[in-house]
Amino acid sequence: MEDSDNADDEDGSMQNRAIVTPGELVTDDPVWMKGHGTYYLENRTYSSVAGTVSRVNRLLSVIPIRGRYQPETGDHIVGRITEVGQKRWKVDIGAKQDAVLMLGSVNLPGGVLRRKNEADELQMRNFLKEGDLLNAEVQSLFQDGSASLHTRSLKYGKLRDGVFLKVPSSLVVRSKYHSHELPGGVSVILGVNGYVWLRKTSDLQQQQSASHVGKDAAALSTRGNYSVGNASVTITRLEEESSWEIYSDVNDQISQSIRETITRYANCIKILAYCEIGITLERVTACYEASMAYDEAGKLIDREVMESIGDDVITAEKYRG
Amino acid sequence: MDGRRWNELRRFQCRINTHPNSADGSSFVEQGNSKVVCIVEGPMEPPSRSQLSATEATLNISLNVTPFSSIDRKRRNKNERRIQEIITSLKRTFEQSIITDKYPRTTISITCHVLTLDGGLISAVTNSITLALIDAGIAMYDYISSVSAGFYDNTPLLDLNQLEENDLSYLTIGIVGKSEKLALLILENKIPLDKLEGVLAIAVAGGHRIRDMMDKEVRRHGELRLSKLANK
Amino acid sequence: MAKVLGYEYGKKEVMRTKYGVVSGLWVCAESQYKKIREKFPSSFDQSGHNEEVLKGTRRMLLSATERSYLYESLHSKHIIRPDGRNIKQFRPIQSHTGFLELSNGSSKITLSDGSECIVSIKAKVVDKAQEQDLVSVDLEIAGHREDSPYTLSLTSTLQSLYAKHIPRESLNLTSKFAYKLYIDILVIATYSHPLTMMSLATYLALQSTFLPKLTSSVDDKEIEEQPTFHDYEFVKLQVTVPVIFTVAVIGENCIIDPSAEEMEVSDNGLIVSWFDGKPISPMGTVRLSETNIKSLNPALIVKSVDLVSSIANSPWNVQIILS
Repeated sequence: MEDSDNADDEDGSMQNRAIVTPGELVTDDPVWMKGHGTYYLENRTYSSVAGTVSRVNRLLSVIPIRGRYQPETGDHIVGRITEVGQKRWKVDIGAKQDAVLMLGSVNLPGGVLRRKNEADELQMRNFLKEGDLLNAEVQSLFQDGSASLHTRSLKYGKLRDGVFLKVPSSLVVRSKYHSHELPGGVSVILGVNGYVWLRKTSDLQQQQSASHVGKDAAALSTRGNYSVGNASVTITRLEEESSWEIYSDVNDQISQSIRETITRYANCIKILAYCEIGITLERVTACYEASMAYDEAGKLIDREVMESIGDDVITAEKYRG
Repeated sequence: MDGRRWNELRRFQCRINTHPNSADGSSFVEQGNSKVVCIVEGPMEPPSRSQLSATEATLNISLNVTPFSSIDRKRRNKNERRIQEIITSLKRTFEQSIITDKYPRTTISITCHVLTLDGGLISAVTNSITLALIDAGIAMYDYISSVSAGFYDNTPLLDLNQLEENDLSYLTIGIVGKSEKLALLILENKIPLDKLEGVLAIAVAGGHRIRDMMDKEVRRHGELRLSKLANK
Repeated sequence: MAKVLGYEYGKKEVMRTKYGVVSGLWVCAESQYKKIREKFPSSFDQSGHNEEVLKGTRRMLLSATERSYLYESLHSKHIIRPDGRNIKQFRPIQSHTGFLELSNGSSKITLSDGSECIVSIKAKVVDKAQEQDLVSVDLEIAGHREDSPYTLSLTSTLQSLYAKHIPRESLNLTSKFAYKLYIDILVIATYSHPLTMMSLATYLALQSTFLPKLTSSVDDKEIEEQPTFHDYEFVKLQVTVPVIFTVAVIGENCIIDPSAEEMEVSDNGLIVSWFDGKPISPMGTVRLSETNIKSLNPALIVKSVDLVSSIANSPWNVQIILS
């Protein structure tokens, strides 16, 4: 479902590469439903932003060239808590408005099937507090376009053991999976909203992936990526996981070399963003390999170096076809 | 007065997305020797609850005429009446042209820095705001392009510089897109009613030319980005 | 800016005394405190606006785990900065000069995090006898009132720095008249501590300042006349300009040009001014973060000064940083 939508999207923007600007007549055919980025006056549809026209089924919309992240249901995002309120957290996800995470939409210690009680309301800060980062899915959208999140899956929740960085959300290419294991003992979550979390691959994750490889090697070998949510997890494991540990504020031991690798990956993602190259798992890996030509990760912040590595990534890709 | 014909614009140059790392939208406009930088942030979560409107976006505009902008350096008070007046009319203009009800419960904050000033303050600022808003991807009904015009010795004059502004009576208009609709009209001093029509007519024509130049820049920048994104 | 230590290089007595500095405040035995106070009265600048300095820069929210990750990386012997820089490395700076036609000198610098600052230099002919300072600094930081303590404290730091170290002789015109320089600094956006950015931009603007050429005689003792200038010929202003460096201290490590996240986890911060091959005042501690302030080991002041000196005095000097 999601895939086909994306494909349509791609086609739509490919066919109509021309740019429309505010006030421009897009169509006078009333058969189209007006979507985002358009307005409707006397049976004519005009563009309200500068962008490209997308036609999906009967829906006509203009996708702005630049702009804040627009949440969509099902998006895998990374966010930061900005406020703890009554039975809800407010989360900065880089959109126009903060998203809402309801107390009822998170897993609490003591198992998933546990009911939330008043004590939980009082100790919300013990679970998530201002500044905390989390990894969540957009559950639904409110009338005004703001998002409601949930973390009721093992692959979501509080983030630890790593660093955070921001890239323009338009550069994150939507795909089936947004959390990936990278070579070098590092994992990345490329939030659809452009918030990225790079961290040490957890031991648990490694174990699981090992057993997963054993069971289903074929599925894994194709792309080498791995998503936690797919693992077959027993109920006991779930319960174990749902203990207080998932809200811990303490990092694992992280070795020097892992830290260096994380820094290098962070700079690589910044290079892709600087060169305005769409960010995918393959490109991050390719960029990391290209960056090895420079022994110090600190050299990667130089503008010329960034451009040259960006070019390398693109040409290498074209070469491969 | 500077060798232009009566209906000739001064050099107009503009760029958008000049501050990609620090703002949602940004622009730089040069109209003659006047230079304006505009920064737009938002739509975003309002800094305080009191500014919140449940139905539409709240607009905050601040205008900073730098002390070094004129030939004689002088410090301007932010609360100067003229600046406050300009801000109020700009706010009214853009509240009408931004589709504000698409962004309930948010703030859009606009900051303009005037680096050098050689007449046409309001028009340069208006044009820079239009471009920065477009760059930020904020939905607008149409471009607002702005230009000043005055008249001298029965001849209407377009796009005045500082010297001309000092001596002539003039007005500044903001035009909606390619239409003849005015979103903004500021008369600085008296203009005889019978002359008004002629002055307005050249101003509208000038405004359309400015709109086309801004549109060209927006498209140029858009193409550039698309060509990069084609690598996706 | 912060509590300024009236510390000049060579006055090592300051450091030999046993004391710690906590967030710009001297923590030491009362008697010692008094002694130091008598010795260096200027050290105790009462106009320190530590709190405000911090509120000025946009606050960065970090989660507990991010904080500890960053802190450990920066604290360890083998330091890893979040963007991989070494301790002496600046973030890339883009600069541009001479774009304001109505000013005698102008510059604009942009840091890689989007911080940006524009400086204009305007000169005016003044009667030397009537002007105390031949340099006047004016600061405007977007999002801050002109009379906010934050802006005012930064202005006074820069004012005293430039008024003191730009030699009056270089602005001399005649025995009666001189140029007065108006330095206007406009900060369009700032994410880390703005002093280094502002001082580098001012440096560039002053280096690209052109003043009208004097055509009347230098000696106007006898004749009561305004000096006259050539219509279109300009002379480049020749001055050496001091530069301020910001150093963050984390554990035993000192790092130059801290980014916002580095500032947030730093134990303490130092500003070191550099002029003509040596450190000068103002030098002192600044609060870089709101929490997490620890006492400062005096040895680290020396270490920071050494760090700055290795940058400022090496061939890889200010010019190169800006190129």
